[in-house]
Amino acid sequence: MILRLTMTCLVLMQLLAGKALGNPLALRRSVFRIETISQDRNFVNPWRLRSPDMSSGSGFYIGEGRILTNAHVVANASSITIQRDGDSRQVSAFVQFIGHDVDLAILGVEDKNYLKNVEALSLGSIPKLRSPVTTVGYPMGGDQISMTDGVVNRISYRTYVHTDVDDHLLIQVDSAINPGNSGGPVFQGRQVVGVAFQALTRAQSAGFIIPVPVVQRFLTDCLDGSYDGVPDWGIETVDFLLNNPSTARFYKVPSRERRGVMVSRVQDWSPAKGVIKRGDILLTIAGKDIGVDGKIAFEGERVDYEALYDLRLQGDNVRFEILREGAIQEVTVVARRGLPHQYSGRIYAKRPRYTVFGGIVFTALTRSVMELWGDAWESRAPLLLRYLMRQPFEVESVGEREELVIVSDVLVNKANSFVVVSSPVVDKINGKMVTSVKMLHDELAALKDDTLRLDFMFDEDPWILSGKELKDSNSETNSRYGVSPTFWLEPYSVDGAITKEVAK
Amino acid sequence: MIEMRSNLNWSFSVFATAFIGANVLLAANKNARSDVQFEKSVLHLSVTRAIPDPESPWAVQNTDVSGHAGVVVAENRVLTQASLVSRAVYIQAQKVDDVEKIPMRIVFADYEANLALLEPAPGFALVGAKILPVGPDIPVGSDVTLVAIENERQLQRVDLRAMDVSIREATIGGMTVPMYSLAGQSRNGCKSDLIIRKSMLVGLCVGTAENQPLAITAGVISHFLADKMSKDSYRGFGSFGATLHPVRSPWHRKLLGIAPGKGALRVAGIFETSPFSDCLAVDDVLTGIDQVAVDHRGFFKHSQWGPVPIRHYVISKYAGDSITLKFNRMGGAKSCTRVLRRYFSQDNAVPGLTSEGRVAHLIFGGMLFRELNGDFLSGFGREWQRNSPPALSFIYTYMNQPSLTRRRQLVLSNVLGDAINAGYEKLSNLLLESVNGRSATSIDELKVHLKMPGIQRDGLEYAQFDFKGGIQIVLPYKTLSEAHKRIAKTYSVTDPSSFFSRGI
Repeated sequence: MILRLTMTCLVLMQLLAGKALGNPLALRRSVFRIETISQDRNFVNPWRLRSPDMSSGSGFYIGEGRILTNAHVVANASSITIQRDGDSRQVSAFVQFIGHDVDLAILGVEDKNYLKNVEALSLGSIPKLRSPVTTVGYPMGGDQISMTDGVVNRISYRTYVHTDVDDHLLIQVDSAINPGNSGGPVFQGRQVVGVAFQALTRAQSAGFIIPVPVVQRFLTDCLDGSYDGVPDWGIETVDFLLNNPSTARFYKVPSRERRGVMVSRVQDWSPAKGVIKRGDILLTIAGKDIGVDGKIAFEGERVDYEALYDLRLQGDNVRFEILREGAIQEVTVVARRGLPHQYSGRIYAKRPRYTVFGGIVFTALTRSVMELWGDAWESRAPLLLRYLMRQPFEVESVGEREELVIVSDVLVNKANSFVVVSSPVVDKINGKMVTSVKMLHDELAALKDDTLRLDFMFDEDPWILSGKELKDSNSETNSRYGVSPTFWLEPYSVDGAITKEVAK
Repeated sequence: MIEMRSNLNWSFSVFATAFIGANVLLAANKNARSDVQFEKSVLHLSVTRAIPDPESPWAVQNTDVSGHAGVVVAENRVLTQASLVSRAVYIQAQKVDDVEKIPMRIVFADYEANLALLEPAPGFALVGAKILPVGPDIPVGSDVTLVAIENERQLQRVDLRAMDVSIREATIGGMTVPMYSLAGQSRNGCKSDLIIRKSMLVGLCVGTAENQPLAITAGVISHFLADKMSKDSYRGFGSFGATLHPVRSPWHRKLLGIAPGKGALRVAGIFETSPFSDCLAVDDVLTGIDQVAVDHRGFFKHSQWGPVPIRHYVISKYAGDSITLKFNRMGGAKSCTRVLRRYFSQDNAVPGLTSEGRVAHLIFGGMLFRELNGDFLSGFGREWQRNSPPALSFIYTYMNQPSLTRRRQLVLSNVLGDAINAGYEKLSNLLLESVNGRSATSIDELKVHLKMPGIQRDGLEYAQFDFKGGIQIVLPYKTLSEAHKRIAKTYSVTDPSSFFSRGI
């Protein structure tokens, strides 16, 4: 912990020690246009990739041969090139670190000389409300660099749409953030106060930037050579309940000023499991009072208390004051990851996990699978899948599984031609609970020439198949449908594994 | 559900078994229709209904007047769609060639089968009306005429062809009955439109699926009329109370001991309301009912329609009739004779719309508790299956088994804001798990539990509510009565029985 903090300070000092920069116009040479060719994964036939797609974004130099941009700019990229303002050359770049949960990535370049004499931009702090900012980048509408002025509207804690499940601090500005701006710096005077990354599609000039504390946390996390990710929390609280005087009295809340929020659920995977219980009232986090609205004072604003937890590194201790059965206690939670990520965010791995047996394609249920039903999947996808994605832990036994396994496709052959996919979520294989694609794969691999029984969640109609016939069909079926490889079982490991896989 | 209420008729296509055949527009067979005579049998029914407000169940929406067809099936007896006359406060009938409107009243409605019988109010008669006989079930492929009455003066005739027969829900959460899919001209909806062939009533169009009219068959209509017009009390349609699945997999068939080419249905589930619950078990293999054999798809051969699901046979029976199931268990032949029970959607965990009487609800300190049912779900609008919280529609879809004690799921639908519930205003659509530590499966049971002593804390008595998801709230009993007075005034709750009271 001490080591990490020290290293954080060193990085900051290095960044802050950059030459004094002029107005944003003078900083344009440090801002890059990033072009990528990416191939999204196919979540029905996971051994296939979708058609290549070309897109562009922005990024900026932070020193030591590193360019900071958004994760979504370079996600699933098979080719990345960068181009500096005023320079006709495009050079190849590669991902050094990527944090999908915070939508940030660090790029390196093949040609080290390309960044010679490029000035590193320095990071500032959280800007004040109504203070002016300048967004710089390469938005759609032209090839040249673009600068847009705006003011800071709001500092809040909201969802980062790249994974669509991770909530973090963000800043809303009223300068337009358009496709292509992503990953570009947002300046206040000479300093970067955020990274442009998303916008409200139904509002004019409502852009969002990733604030410096989130960026700094990401940079610090990468210092040990791998990105470990933002720690998970897994605690659900209900805002405002303790605003009720009778309720506050019932639970013996100490004063009107310090009421806090009540814990309604502690997930099994929560790092606070065993430390914080349902019914506890969270009064403070790291010494800061938590209001009945679940917010704390932060940089002159009020933001969700989780924002403070999010800024911790894995292994950090986070102190809470809680009220339990009328008595105040101090407890410490060790921040760490824990959420079975496949239940929530989009997957940006080399391939989704899958296995194909007898023409039956098994893969993990993920947000990416749900998006097969389009952006409106929350109303259009089958109800069972929507429910399992939204409230997975409401269903008994889900918490005991590493992931939910679904049948994404049936490659028809003689051995499986009579099956009908009704509920696609596999519950059991020959009576054993299916806990992951890997577990299912192992069971299938060990299958003798006898019966294969697959039970599905919320379906009374099991599949009873001949193990021998399915095994015998494997070779011809895989050949006919071009299945190769026939399985892929690498753990997603959230972001770390991806980093190692892509980084050069 | 089909056209049952103006605000619930959308859901048909979602529930209906998609069974529409090829989109073949067939030339009308003029010969088959040349003798159509029905003008003196068709009435325009003008129905004024007072439907409960889905969001304020103690109040009714603005009265709604709608028009649709009725048909004279006996002297002074008019058949129409039950859901269109539910909660009717005033009904008038008018012959096509007459200006006089005759006040009518409901003789009897079977809301499960969606059929109702009307008669003139005392002192009135349908003079000059001609009885339209109910015909037999017609073969698939027959040409028919759909007769709709768009307004008081004009009959609309549409030539159609009966393309298929499938089993579909007659109403939301209601009984499944055989229905014709009618091809020839798409319609947005059917409101008790008559299906006529050779001057006989052969169907009643009650809904559409993918703009194809769907009509309850003559057999169901005859069943209803014969039952109601007999001297005995109405028996209703018989219910089997088990789910059956055809066994497609040869391997599964082999394991269950089903000989090649022989028909069989696997018993997949048995409800506690089933008359066969004491003699039938999951994985029994149904081979026939009475003298009717099941084919390899689980069908039997209907005299007019060819192979249809065996459920058709059960639907043709009355509640109170005995049937004998023939089945195999572990290779041994067995049989079981039981008396069929009447189907009631109100037996289900999530019943359909309340067609008569008060919508069950209770206000406790501004917290509005409802039973999860069609009335509640209709509050989410036409697309309620998409728009309602997945947790609620999930219960409707996957956990909607009938029970002998009619166990319901209670929901905190919303909070009527008041000083007593300050801080709770945003709570809505929460599934109640217990009150004061006791589970409640109906509004009546909730009242009973709340009348019992609550939780004592520092000399005050509280009611403690626990909801699925871990949310717990408390409200004091002491100030309840004053709060209810305020809430009644603020929200115009005129019915004192809407409020919880410990008094008699």
